Amino acid sequence: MVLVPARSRRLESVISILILFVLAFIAVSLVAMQFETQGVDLELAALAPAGFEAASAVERYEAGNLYEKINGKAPLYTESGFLKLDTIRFAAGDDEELTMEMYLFDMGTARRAFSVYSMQKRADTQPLEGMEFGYRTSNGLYFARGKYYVELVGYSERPELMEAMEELARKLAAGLHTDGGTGLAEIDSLPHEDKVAGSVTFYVASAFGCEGLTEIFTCTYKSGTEEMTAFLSRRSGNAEAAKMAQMYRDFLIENGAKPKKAMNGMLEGKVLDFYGYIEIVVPAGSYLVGVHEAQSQEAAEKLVLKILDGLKE
Amino acid sequence: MTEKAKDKLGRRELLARAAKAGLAIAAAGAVAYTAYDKDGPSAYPQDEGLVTLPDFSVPAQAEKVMSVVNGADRKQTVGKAVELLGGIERFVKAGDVVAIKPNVAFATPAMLGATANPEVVGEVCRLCVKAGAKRIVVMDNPINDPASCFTISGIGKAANDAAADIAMPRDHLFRNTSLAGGKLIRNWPVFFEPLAGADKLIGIAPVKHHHRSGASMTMKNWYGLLGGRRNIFHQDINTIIAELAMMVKPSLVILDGTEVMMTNGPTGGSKSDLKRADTMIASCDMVAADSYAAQLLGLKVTDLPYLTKAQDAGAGTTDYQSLKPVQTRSS
Repeated sequence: MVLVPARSRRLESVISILILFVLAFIAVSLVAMQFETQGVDLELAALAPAGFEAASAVERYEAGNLYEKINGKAPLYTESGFLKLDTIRFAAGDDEELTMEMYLFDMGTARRAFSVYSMQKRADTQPLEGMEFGYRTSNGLYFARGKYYVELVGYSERPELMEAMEELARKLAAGLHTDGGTGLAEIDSLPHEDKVAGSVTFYVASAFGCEGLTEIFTCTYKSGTEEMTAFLSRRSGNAEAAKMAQMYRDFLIENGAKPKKAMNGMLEGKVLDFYGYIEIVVPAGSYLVGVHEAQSQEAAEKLVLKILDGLKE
Repeated sequence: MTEKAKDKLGRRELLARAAKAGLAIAAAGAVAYTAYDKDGPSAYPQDEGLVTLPDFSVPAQAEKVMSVVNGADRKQTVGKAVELLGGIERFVKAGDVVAIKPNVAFATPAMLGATANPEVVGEVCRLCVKAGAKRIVVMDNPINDPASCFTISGIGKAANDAAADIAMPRDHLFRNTSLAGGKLIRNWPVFFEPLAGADKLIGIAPVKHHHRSGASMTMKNWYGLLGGRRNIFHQDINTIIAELAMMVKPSLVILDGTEVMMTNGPTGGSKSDLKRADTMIASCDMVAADSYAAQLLGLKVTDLPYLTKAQDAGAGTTDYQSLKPVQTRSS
């Protein structure tokens, strides 16, 4: 008879039980993940407007396979912090025109959601009632709410389809968690006078073609025939704002901009002539402020000074 | 048995078990080592019987390289555009098997302009039937689920109504190819089998803005022949479009600028993304067709680097004026 020491037997038993626990934990986690996905399916399908029902399963896409849904547009999202996309179609019976597709983009933060919303905002649209950031076209509704960017795309322009999409938008918006506020306080710092409505855009990265210009709010201003873009960004501190200002200034100079004497002494050293357009770049405390592509130096300097005054308040 | 003997047996047993465990671990490690691929999976499949796409081009005819027809009715404009180049009989002979490659990339309805218009696909199929084609195969490897794309875009129905077959992108229909001198298309799977059996190839594409390349037109349309994880080519989008133009030599391309997707391409999503341009282009030179249509997007040839790349590679000319395109208005 082979004798195994009691100590060894106990050790073997302990190790075996630990291995079994680990395997059980893995199995339970996998099952839990499966149920989590199914839970999302049920929630979105339940949003069907009156007279409509889910016409497809929920499709989920993440950064690695987003291109399988939106192809060349995927980088617009993945470069802006995209996390996942859920899509589903709703239809009313067999009428193909009474079909809509919902795209629910989880962008991770309200700023990123606003970024992809603002970068794709169509011109000549109507505001979407009840949505701070939303608009409608003849066959679609688009809005940013909390960390989500939503597109509701209709397969026709029929009024009954638009009504159904509005109902869906309301239901969806009510269920989207916002964490309170918009996370977009910089928008309030931009002057209202001469602001082109709906022109505020947020660039997560590569604003104005400059790779290092990140997390930038821009807004178009128009006075008469004069049009220009103001930009504003809150950085982590004074040093970062100064560094970013220098980086952008160097970028402009590398691309042909020439320093120009300021009309207002406060902006001396901050004004550049870029092939006839005025660029102003100013670090102001922890903010980066400026104007891009202005035709009038006087108007550009006036706008920058107005923004700086607003930040002091 | 003495206590000492029992201990010895216990230790012996322990050592024996440890030795067996060690051998088992070593054996597992040896198997893992032999199976280990330190380079990871290759981006390109191994070279096994590379194919070359047939040359489907037709003999050139001076001043019948490109035509532009203005009008709102797609069936009329595409018919006229082909007529101005010598008629369908110049491109399709009786008994030909014709492969038609429209843009069926997305599962979206025709009204959104993200895919080829089914009216154009249907009319081109009917023209081929009229010319006596033995068989017409409509093919694409879409971005979204193929069945949904062909159904929702309306192209599946248009093909069926015109008695054309549809070739779905099944794995066994793909073969690997390498483009001579190509940087990206090396040992890459392409949707080959429907082309292998075809005598002629016609591409049909809408004029669209594209977030990455600036535009998606006749050359970008051939992206729908690529298999594998083709999204990696987006990182060098201008080169891949130029290589597609070198790889594919169609008989004819149709470029539909009736409603142009001006923004938010390639998927669009809103009718407001589209602008009416009422222009239909037929061409034996893809580079020329795309170069002409750039203006419909408010762009210059220089705004689309892939055009010059393709021209430099010998795929065509950006100087479409030199081809003396025939232009007219449909009735």
